[in-house]
Amino acid sequence: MKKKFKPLLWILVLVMSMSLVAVFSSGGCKPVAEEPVAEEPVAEEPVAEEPVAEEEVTISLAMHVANVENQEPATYAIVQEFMKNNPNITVEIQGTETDEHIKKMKMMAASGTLPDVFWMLPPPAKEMAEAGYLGDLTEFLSNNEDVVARIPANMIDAYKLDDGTQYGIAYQPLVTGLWVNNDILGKYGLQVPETFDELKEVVKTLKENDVVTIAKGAKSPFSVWAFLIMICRYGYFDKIDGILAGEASYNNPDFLKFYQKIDELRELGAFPENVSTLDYFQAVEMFMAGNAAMLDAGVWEAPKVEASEFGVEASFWFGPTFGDGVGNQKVSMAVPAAPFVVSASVMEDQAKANAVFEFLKYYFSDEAADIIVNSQFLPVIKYSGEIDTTSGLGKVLEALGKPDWVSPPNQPDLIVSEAIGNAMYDSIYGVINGVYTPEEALDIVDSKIAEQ
Amino acid sequence: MFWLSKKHIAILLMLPALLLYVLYIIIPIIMAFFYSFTKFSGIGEPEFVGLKNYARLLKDPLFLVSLKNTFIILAVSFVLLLVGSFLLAVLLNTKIKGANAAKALIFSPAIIAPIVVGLIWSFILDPYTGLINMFLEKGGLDFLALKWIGGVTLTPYVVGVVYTWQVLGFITTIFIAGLKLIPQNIYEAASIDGANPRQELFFITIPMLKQTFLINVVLIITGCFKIFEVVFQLTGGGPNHLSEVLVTYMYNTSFQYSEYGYGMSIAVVTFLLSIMFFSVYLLVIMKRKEE
Repeated sequence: MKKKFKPLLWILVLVMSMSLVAVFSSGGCKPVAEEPVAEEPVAEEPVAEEPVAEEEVTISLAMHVANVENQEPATYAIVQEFMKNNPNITVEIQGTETDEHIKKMKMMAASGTLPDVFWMLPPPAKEMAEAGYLGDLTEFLSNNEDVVARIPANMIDAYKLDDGTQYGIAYQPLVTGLWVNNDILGKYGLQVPETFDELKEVVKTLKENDVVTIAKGAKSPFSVWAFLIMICRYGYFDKIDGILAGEASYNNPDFLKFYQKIDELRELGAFPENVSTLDYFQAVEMFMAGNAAMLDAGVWEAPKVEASEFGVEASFWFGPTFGDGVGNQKVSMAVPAAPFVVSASVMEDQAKANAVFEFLKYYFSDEAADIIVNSQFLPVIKYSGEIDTTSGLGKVLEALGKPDWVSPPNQPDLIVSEAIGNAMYDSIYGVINGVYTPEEALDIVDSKIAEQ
Repeated sequence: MFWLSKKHIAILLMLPALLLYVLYIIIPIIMAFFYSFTKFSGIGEPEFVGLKNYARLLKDPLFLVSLKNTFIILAVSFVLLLVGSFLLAVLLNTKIKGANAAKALIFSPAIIAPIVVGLIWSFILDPYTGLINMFLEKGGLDFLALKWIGGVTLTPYVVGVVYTWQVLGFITTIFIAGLKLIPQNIYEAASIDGANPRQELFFITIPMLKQTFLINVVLIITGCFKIFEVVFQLTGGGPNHLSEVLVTYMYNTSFQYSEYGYGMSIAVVTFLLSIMFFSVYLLVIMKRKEE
């Protein structure tokens, strides 16, 4: 019996050891990077603009949503059309929820396994570029002047390092604000307010009738877009450089007035009572179901708004002006969204680089812009086609087209580090939740800035 | 002697598991220690900052909040789990009808993924849309419809209860296994000597389950220090970090704020605290044993 067991057990040990070896060699359990982290400067060799080779090339595109087909329908449709037009190029789309996507890209950068093209938030994209993980798109742009001519300068300039390295191009314009259900306002004899005092009156009337004014979800701390526009009306862009340099404080009289306004809205009952246990998607559901008059969101909800029961009467609003505000009060928000960036390793493979550049050329083409508009999103390029003014997208364009309304160069949280940006979200929701006083909320951001 | 019991064969057979343990447990712990002395955003090279992160911990109000919440969860679940699961085990170890079905039902929460547990309980505990407050309000008990989650006070206590619910069956199963190992003739002898059930419980059952108690205490302590998914799903650590526990705060610091160095210092402190708790308990047990 013992003799029978002996060889069997040795076989078992052997099989287990071989399976471990197989796991490590397949990359399934890579404990350490196989390639050294790319520390060399971004590739400087010019990328030759040769006609796309007919050889089969596969490029990877990583997006920041779990289901690209449903959540980024425009990008998905563009990829499908691109592959039809370029049968020798296969684009493998990878989709992961935003937070996970950002973590994943950072880990992949460290292990040298970045996808060829990917979406990335501006602050970490800049860090990645400075660390040499991203390819320089300067030559791509200089060899494709028609692409450059189509894209507004700020969509390109936002993703340029001080040394001129072009590390990304905005993949869409970021237009944010408040969607408004005018059916609800109309039911109570209200109109879209213009000033903060008018907004307060709207809130009071709606609260008396048990209607939520602004749908929000604190479990999604980033969902404070409308409030980031509002802080611009208190001189944010005049102050922020000095604040970050330590010459001024985030806790200043102007910002204090703004946070006190948020507190006033909270006291009047503008937000859902369970705002602290809702997330952004639940807030969207609340609005789309007709249970809130406004939704703090952006152009990406245009398709859902259009499809809703109140879609025809909905409107898009950049929030109230403030009597005690600082500077221009007619501030809209149409800024570069997060960029598409290209992995530095792409530049070392001519065929892959050509395929990636062909994809980018197509993405910023008129044909792709039509696809984007048909999906109810805004294209980056200057669009000359017709947009139905009654559509969700049309309502955003209507708001953007108002005379004298000017967008800042970027969204306030996108010009600071991730940590400071998160502290800003925390401070705003802290007041909305009733956890922080306005002063405490401002101190939260100051503390985070000091820690950097 | 059967050849398998030779030392070198035993070591050889343990080697694969040991290798995996070193690669996925020990090395990450060492790496966490290393990164805790750095400032690192996850991109580029980490910058060595010495003990700066640890000094920051002492002044960080959010870290102290997460520490307090973790201890509250530990206290609540320690009492409820240890006492509740022991008594449940004693009950289920008797020959009562339906004991086997009850065991299966009580154990079932342990096989639900923790993130799903958090999701289920968020529908029950939400102060405005949850089942508990809905029933309380319908029953005219509005004054009992508290802010179980999403408020500033009750969340850690509620998390302790949810954790207890989740793990009760598992701890009970370990106690039942321990009870089954106690020889029945001891109870028979005690019964002959006139011991009543209460005396049997305190003078036979509990002393003979010392090792089982020790195992369960370790599991409860380490489990409480590892709680993440339930808090993450119930409140996300909010509102504004007031319901953070050590692991969720470490997660948010590392992955939301991209402060990996500081996040690892929180992880190291969590690790050291759980070892410290367990060591203290072990010392107390050993001392009592000597006495």
